[in-house]
Amino acid sequence: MAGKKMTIIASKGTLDMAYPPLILATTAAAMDMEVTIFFTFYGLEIIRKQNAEKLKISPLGNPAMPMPVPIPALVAALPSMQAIATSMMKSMFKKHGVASIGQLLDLAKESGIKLIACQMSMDVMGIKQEDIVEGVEFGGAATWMDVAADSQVNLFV
Amino acid sequence: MADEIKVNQTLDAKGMNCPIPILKTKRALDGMAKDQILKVLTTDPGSQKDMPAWANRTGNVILHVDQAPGLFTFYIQKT
Repeated sequence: MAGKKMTIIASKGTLDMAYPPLILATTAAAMDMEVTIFFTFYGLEIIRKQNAEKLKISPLGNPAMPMPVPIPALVAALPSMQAIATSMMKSMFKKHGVASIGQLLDLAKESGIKLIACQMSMDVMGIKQEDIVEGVEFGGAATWMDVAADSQVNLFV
Repeated sequence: MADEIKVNQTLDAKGMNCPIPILKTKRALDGMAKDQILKVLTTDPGSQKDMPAWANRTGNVILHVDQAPGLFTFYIQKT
């Protein structure tokens, strides 16, 4: 019940992998849990300004990616395949009434979920604090560990 | 039984998928008074399990569930 906590480390920046952290975080908040998401490495793409709706998915190296017809790896490497796969995935989400990443990010903020961006990954990847959406705090491993040590659920995505 | 339940507010979450029906249910109940009853309509098959799980965690009570093909109706009392 009340008082439970969860943290999630969001480390990936593809369209598909941006979903689990945001879905689980918003759901946990709706279940009265105190939630923190720590965005590190490619996960920072989710909270870069004006970027949440621009995340992409690549069929390359992903044999599980559903395609209308089987696509050989060499074809998957063609320049337009990433755009095709991304728009296909987005229309599948839409058709099934799934919220977009931007909508889920807004819901996360409205639910009072604490968002922390990994300062070290930002330095390495040349991302400035002003490149990150409003309402995000900046910290490092110890910041996450401090919350994680007091949480019942800690996930790395 | 559903006919006897006095509903204070109805939430139409038809066509929405996980986790939006849960988030909207939570938000609707937040704006209601204790003991009031929220009726929630969903089409997401996952909500059959998700709604009771959410209620179990938050302490709100599901009084009754109606199941028609592809349509689920939950009567939830705020605690």
